[in-house]
Amino acid sequence: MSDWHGGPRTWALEQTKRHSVQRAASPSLSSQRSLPSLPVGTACAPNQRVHSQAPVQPKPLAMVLLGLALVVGLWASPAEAQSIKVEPSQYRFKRDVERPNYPFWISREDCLRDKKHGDGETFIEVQPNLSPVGNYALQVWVARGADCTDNEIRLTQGSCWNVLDEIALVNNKIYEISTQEIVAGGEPITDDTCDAQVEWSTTLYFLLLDGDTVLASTKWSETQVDTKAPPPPVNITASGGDNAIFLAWDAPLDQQVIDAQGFAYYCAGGGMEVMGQAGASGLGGGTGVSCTAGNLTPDDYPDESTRCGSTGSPSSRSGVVASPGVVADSVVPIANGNTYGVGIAALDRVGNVGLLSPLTCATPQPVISFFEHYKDSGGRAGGSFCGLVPGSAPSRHAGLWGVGFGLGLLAAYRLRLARRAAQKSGARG
Amino acid sequence: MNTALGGAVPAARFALPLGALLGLVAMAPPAWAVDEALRDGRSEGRAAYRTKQHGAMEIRFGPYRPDVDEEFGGTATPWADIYGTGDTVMFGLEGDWQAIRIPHFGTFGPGLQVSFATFSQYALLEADPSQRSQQPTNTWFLPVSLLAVLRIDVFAREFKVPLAPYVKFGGTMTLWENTDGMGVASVPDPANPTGPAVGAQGISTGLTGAAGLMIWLNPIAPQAALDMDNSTGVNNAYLFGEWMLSRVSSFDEGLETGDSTWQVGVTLEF
Repeated sequence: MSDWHGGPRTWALEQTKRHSVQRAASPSLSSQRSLPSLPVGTACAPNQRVHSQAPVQPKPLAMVLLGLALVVGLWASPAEAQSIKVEPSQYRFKRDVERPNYPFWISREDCLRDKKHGDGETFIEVQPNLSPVGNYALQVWVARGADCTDNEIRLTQGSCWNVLDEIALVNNKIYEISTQEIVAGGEPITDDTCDAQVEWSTTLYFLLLDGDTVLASTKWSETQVDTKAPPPPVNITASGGDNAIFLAWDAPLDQQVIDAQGFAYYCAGGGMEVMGQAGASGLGGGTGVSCTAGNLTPDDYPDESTRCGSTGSPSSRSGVVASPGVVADSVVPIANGNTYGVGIAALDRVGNVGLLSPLTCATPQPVISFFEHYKDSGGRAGGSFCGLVPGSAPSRHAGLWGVGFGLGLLAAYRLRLARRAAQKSGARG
Repeated sequence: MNTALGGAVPAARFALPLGALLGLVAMAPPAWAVDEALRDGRSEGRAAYRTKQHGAMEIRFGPYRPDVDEEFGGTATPWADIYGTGDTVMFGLEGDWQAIRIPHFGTFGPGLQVSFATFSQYALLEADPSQRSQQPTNTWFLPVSLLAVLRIDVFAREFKVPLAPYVKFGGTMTLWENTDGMGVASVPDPANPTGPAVGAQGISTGLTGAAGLMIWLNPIAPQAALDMDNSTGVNNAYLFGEWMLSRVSSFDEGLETGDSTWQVGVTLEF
């Protein structure tokens, strides 16, 4: 589980309202009047005689009552304003695998891996400061532009949807918010909730409620829903290299999204070419030949167990597929002599993987590169840039040249000094 | 993809620099312009407007093809088999310190030259070496030279001929690397097949010499040259062409990255 902390970002978190419902105001005089009245003369010395018939002096009594009222008023807690506060460090996105980019955005993966409704451990953890706690409700409402602190908007218009409703009994208690419920937009959650290709901003309203009365609220605007991935590239070609496959492609003409961040490659062994109609779904390169392989399905979300490479550059138009350890981000072994089906999906900035492109087949095969040919011919060079080890030829030569050059510099400097001295002495003469 | 200037024959290597040299000489400004440039810079009362001269900087480029195959004495041609016999363009920068001015002759001092060239090709198919695969095999070279530079500018300064020949000589250390589309190429070590693979990178050292001719540009626009001197400290501007010969194979112990070639460029003295 990752635990992302705020970091250097500027947060839009803001405490927006403090509703001034004054529930614990200063005690009223009427309440003071209900205090049992002291018998007249209580303040006299015990041995002092009390004259029960003595007339009541209203002025001292009023003074005593006023004094008592002041004392009680001073000891009573001041008027309290209800508040709710969520610092950036109190809003955390919990994921199975930490995502450094846009950590508060909800991707399709975040939705699918939702702890409450999905198959993972992803959720949003909030730990608000509440004042006071008590028999109030803490609710979190989500909206796309609406003001959920307005009762009418929140309760009747349907433009806000509730994702948390609990009794706010304890301050700093941790609450969990479902990512899938945010993505659902107030609609019932189904198996297809996360497949909706949506991209919108949200505001989460944290409300402290007494019944329907909003006692305090704060909002969070850093979370966006982005389950929309870029479309796959087109005109994909693949050719076999030495235990590798080299890919080339064109960008899709219809740039549906502007947040493309790269491409991921998906491979399956046993690729088989079949004749078909160029341009149809599943056909590669418009050659009239389609490729089928394993569980790779064009126009569907690819299975991550078939990933065999990727590039983090959206402007890339070529890439290489190889075995794990040879290229990063590959889990599929690639070997010479086997035919593979290969497809490409685009990635966006929050890691959304798009739909798989048509497949193309390729068979890795041995090649002759320059260095291999050079060494096979008996070439003597190679190793590393660390050839300047003591005793090696480059090291001896570099040392000699360094010494020679240093001596040359020294000689030039001495010669220059000598010339200057000669010029000065000549000028004096 | 092949960036090599494939098909260049040895005759072209000589024709091009000779043509360039003739062109440079033809561009040389007339004597009266040289006289004016010198008078502006050196006449009494205006000499204070000329800044002092300390060094030179060059931007240069020219064809390059390393003589890798010389290592095999004609028994194998791995470089030509992969990259052909064409050249690529090598770009370079050089900075010189004109430590000594030799009266009535020129300047002498050390210089540092850094160049870069890269060759790109596709590997051959092992099953049919006449065919190319789509796997790249790219090699780059980065020669670094420490040079002693002698520039003879007496002709321009005292004989109104805007030409300045020069010679350079020194040592070169070339870093090189070959990549195969997945990183640095490597092959099993023939001496130890079960040990670590041999990476396709290394350093070669050797000697470099060059001789060239510079055309002094100041006389073309004497006032502009003087203004540039006063505003930027650049005393003189030249176009140059040179022939360069380098033998850089760690004295027959490494990859031969030297070449015999020509280069042209611009020199600014400051």
